[in-house]
Amino acid sequence: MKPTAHHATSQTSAQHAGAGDASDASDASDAGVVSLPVLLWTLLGSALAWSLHLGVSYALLAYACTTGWQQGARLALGLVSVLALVCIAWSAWVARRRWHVARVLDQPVDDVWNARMGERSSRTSFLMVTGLFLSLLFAIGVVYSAITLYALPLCAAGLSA
Amino acid sequence: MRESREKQQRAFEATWDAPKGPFGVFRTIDNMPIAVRYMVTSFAFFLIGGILALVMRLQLSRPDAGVVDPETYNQLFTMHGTTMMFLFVIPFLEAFANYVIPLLNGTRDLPFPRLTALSYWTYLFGGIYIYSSFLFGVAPDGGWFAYVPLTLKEFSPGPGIDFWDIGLSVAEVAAIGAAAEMIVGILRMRAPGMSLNRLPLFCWALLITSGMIVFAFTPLIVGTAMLELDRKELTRFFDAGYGGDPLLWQHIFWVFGHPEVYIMFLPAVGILSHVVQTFSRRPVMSYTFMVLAMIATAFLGFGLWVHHMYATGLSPTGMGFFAAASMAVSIPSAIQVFGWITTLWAGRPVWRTPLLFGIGGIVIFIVGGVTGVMVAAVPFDLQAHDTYFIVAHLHYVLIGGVIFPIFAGLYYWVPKFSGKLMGERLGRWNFGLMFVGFNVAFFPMHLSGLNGMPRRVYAYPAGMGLELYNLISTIGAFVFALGVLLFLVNVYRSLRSGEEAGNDPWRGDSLEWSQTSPPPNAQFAVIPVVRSRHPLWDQSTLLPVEGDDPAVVAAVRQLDHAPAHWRGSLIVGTLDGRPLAIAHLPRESRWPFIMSVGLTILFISALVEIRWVVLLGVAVTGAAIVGWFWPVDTETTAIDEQRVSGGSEVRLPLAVGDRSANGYWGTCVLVAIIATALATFLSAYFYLGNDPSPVPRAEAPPLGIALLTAIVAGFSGAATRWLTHQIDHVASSTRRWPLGMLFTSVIALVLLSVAVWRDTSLDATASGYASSVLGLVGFAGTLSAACAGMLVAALAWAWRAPRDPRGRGVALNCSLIAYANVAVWLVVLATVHLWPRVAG
Repeated sequence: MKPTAHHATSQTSAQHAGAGDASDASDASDAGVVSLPVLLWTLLGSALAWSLHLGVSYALLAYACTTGWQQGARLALGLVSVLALVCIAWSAWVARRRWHVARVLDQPVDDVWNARMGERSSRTSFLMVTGLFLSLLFAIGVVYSAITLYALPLCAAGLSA
Repeated sequence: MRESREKQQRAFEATWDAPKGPFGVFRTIDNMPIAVRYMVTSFAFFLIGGILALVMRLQLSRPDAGVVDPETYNQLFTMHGTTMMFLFVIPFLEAFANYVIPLLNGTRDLPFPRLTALSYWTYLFGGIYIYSSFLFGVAPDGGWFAYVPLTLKEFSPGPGIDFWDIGLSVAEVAAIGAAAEMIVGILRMRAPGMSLNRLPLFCWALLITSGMIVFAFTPLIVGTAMLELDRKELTRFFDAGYGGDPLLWQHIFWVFGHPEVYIMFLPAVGILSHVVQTFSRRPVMSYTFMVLAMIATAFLGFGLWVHHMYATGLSPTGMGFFAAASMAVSIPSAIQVFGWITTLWAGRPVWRTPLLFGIGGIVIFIVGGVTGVMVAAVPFDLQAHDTYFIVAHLHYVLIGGVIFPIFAGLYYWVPKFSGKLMGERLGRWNFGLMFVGFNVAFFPMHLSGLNGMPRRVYAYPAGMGLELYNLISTIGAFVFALGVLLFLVNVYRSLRSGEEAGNDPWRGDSLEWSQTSPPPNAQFAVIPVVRSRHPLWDQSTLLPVEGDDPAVVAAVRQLDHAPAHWRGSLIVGTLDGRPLAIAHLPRESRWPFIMSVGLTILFISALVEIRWVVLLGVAVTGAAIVGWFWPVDTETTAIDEQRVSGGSEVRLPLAVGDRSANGYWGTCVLVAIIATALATFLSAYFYLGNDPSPVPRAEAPPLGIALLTAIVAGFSGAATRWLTHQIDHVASSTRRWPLGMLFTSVIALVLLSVAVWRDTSLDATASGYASSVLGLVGFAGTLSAACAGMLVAALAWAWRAPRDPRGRGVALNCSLIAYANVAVWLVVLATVHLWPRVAG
């Protein structure tokens, strides 16, 4: 059901783009234009979420280890990870949607290798694909650190963070 | 018609000529000559740093050798690390960038040519300053990381650490200045049509690296300032005896120090991508993934710093977070490596010297990367920590990931810089000796490290099984040095009798190869039009063709050998490279040199503490600031031309006095620097406040004066809002009233900063906590003072020439700093006064 829906979306956008100036499609067309906040969110949202997650987690941990607030701390740290993952997923979802809208503007890449590597030639597609895969990378980063929460003791005996 | 055109071309070329005369050297602000000086200077530092390393290797070639005494050995490894990190790699890569970025981008210069010159001079003086300590026999000996408490006054009473601390600050200023320049240059000054997805990878690398420099070097500047204050016993940030914390220094240092590795590595990724692409005769595999890998590395690189501190006894989960990030960062590095391998695989490689150095670098870097994953694991690191295993790992990463790519870049671009090809045969010998010598020198260090040989110790006893490894390492080091020597011979022979390079000896894809070698000073008399990621491979012409955007065609026509009497270059939209405006660039200036002299005197005065030296430094720097901001004649010409032109022809406006100006974007970078500095002071506050220190914390300071200060800050914000409103919406405004109000409120904040500090009744020499409060309040006060200084310039414009767009531009830039100032004050007051009440 879902792929059909996407297919329909891209077809609509193709018609939409076709109505504009196709020769200049990679540079300017309504389908390819993404507002600055959306662009920043899709490109760097996941990276920011990961950075904040690391900073907040480390500060929380330092606080927990100096005050002895350990039970709740583990839960709070887990929540921070979940929140970060939600943000990353959101950024990825927006990037993927905008990419689907924009990719009708991609000119054919006449290079088998690059085409196979998912290389994109329009500016918006390029940025959205970058954002999408960055989200995947930073999601891995968050999951990696979340694992340590359940594998290791929170604080060392007698030492602070 | 033709005559007038020739006349214009001559005038254009004369405008772009470098200043002549005996003092021309000090007035030149062109990117290319300065880049060459930068390269020569930093390469000289590389050679010096290398000689220091060779002396160390001689000392370690046999057990208990008596080549140097332990004190000298400490100086040697400190200066080797400091030189290579701060005086060679970063400046050298910036030199590359200074030269190549405008050429790659198809523009005529960098956005702030005077800042280019200032960066070079401060870097040169900073380097000389640090090395002058050898003359007095007091070279720094606390390691390139200067760990406290060893580097505090108590354990390092001599001036060596002060030389390190202060000289480094000078060099850091240069790095941050260059970073601001790169960010604005790459985002705003490109050829029309060069959208972000057509940006050459070296430009992407430098853009990302420069962003990292802003966020990494600023904490280091704050940290070294704290260290210097502690050494003068004015504060106690790091002194455990007073409730300071030595680990705070390690946190601050490594939050700079680890990103620093990637700050060095990412430009090398850019160089390697160009080299691999050109010599594989095909586009680099998956440009998109190369870019995203660099962005990912830039962020992940900031989340690794604690892995330098595994042995300090932090909480296991905390270390786990950073071990996780250290593992994760290998993913983007692997993406890059596989990108290069597949590019070579799918291409038809031409095995010239640059590619040899490129591939040699990749191979070595992979080994360093794999040992990196090993030491990212906490249990392994605890075993290997402070042994030669780490020395091997870091040299595999840095020499493979940075030095070999630098040599690849040199062999690749020197023909462009000099117009002469380098000898291929000698180049192969150069590569072979360096590659073999490197592996012979550093591979045995893995083994000596695993056998327990500690770093930074000047001797080892016989009979521990370390003799052979060390002897082999020493031999390898000298073979490596011989390779570097061959490079110098090759450069000398190439300059003397090298083959002519022509425009494009390698059949490269990017715009620099479309120009003569060396390129003319104006670089692109005719602005190229970019329609592809690989313009020289894919485009039949760089001139406009039918079907091009009319705005692009008009821009190229307007800038064809023009403007003739002042230096102008194109400003484009950040995302798509659409022509927006023309930037005026100054032609020459003596002020960068004079300012760097003034700054150096100021930094010397911090060491010698003689009053007249301080005053001299202030006077020279002050004079240079005034001279710098004094109206430039050619800019007046440009503005006048703008005023009289008009008519029906579509012409790009001059980027002055609004948000398209480079100065505005540069100020935005400055705001990011201010935010990072504030974050560093805040971290110190919470870190020291959180510490279960033996010194009891003071009560929350009384609210009275703080409340008044907050009101003044709010007033200052309102005045700034009024100012920007007048700039944007009231064309006839002289801006005198809002500027006057803003100036008054900012001066009041400067005075109030003293009152706020007094009001806390804390003694910074008595506790770490008090020092951190002083840090916050002092930072806010200093920022207000700097803002007041900028406002003087804005007021001067408002009174003397309120209609001049330059004055409007200065006011606009001031408004950004004024907003930042208000935000800093509100955060500082909330932290110092409200946080203790909330947290109890």
